[in-house]
Amino acid sequence: MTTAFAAFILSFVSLFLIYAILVLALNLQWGQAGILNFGVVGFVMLGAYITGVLMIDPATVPHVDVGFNLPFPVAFVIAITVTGIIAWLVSSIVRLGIEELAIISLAFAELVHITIENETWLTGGTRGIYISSLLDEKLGLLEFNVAFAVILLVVVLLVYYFTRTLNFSQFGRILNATRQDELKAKSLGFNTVSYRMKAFVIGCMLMAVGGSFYMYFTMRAVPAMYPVDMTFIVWIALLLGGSGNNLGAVLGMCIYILMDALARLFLNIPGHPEIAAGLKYVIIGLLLVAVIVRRPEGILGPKRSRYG
Amino acid sequence: MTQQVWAILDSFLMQTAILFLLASGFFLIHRTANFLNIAHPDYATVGAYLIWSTASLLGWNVWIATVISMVATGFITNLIDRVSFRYLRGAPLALLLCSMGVGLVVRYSAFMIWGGRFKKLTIILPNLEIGGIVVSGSLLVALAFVGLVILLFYFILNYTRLGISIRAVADNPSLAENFGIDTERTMKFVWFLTGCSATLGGLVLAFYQPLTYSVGFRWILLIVAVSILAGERIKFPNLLGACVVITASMEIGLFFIPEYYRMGIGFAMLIIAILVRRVLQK
Repeated sequence: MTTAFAAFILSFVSLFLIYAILVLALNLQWGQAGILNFGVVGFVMLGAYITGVLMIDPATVPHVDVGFNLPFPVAFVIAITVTGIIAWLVSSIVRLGIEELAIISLAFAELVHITIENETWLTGGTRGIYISSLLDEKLGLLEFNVAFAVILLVVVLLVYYFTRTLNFSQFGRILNATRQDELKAKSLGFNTVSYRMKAFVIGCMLMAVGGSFYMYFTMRAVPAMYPVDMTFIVWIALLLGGSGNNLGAVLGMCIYILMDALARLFLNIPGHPEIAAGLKYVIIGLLLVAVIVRRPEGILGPKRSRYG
Repeated sequence: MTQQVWAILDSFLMQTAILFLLASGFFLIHRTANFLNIAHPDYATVGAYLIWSTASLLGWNVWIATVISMVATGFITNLIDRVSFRYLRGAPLALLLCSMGVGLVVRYSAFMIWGGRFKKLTIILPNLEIGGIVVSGSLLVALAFVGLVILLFYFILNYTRLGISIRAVADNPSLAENFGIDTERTMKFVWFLTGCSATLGGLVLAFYQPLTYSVGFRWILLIVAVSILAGERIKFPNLLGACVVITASMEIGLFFIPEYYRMGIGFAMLIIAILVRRVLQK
């Protein structure tokens, strides 16, 4: 096995781990709190681009005017915080009517995309931004990928542990109650809107964690790296694996990534690029509909604490 | 001077008409089946493509092609309802999620069938000249469709059995069922009407913009905003009023904000619509 091939496999694993963070975050929002977030990619982009802009060295990227040249940990913390504040603003505008928030988050993701494409002075527009990574300078290609996969694995485990603790805490139980019967939860004296908003903000911050690491891992960002289907991929993985179940969510993502890899290997129709490109989305859509209609609990089904 | 004013007014009227025709089916579903059908503008895209195929490829008369496409789209929407939405009645969040998947399937099926290239629907319509200003034929047709849809829906909803049962289902589905209304049959009819009006929207949209697979989907924000603003009752004049308000504020907004942030204005419109609705409800 050549080094390049091993590095390729490892980068695939890293991508899976980043998506695992996203699907865990979405599980907190949809599986626990029952919030429809159609703007996953928007929050991922925010995390990634804020990290990028803070880390960029303006001397190396001529088409960008602003850059702060900060180290990754500082940029990471700021990115997460800022994304959290923005998520709070987005959700507080409508006080979290769920259907309305679904459409608003969809629009928000699109707005983030458009802003990043057009504000060239800040984000490099379609030409993108580049950062240098400390790990990359010291390690070779293979070592870099190994180190990164290990770091991400640790992060995924931390996020997993964090969401699990959250789900089984009082906070998680109140969220569960809110999702199942909002009126009842309200009558017990809980401010359901506030709890849901907290879940939304925490979920969006976790998505920004994924985006931030994605930026650091790839060391560049162009808008095309964050297509809208990122949102759909996370959704289909969550629904397939089982919403309300962290393990199921990660399993669903595993299945999706394997399917995607197989499709890339075998699904090639020479002369008709449109069919192959469109078929992917049609299959995602069909899967989404089929899971919702036929098996809404997914493969593993929801896992709740004893009380919920 | 009049020419310039008319140019602004012309684009304003055209956009209002498009928005109204695209939103009418969405509004009907929003109020009867009680969910936001994100796939709706994609039905309009499919309708427009069907008209393009029959009129431009097969060379049929445009109006015959339109009627045939309306019926065909009506059956397509019914088919989609049969295999997906029907199982989820009364669960708005699951329906919303499901419509997301349906939208993907419809949009990218259109992409696979008709390809990614722009298509242009060429129809020669006579222009009308009144007092020095030229009213384009496509605008006249669009406005005529708006009038037709309002009148037709007014007639159906007030004077036919099916229309009255639509209103009953919208108000309270389980009560309507207990009173012996066949809700499934009513929903079939609603989906058929939705497909028909979406096709009209697609046709008028094809006058205004070249056709691509995502041409309808770009309007989704405004459609949702209009439908939320139009209120709880199924009243199409209210919907038209909401369309006028939203399009006018959109045009005014574009004076201050560059064209590529059109989506941003739509976003703002949506939020304002939701907030206004909240205030009106209280």
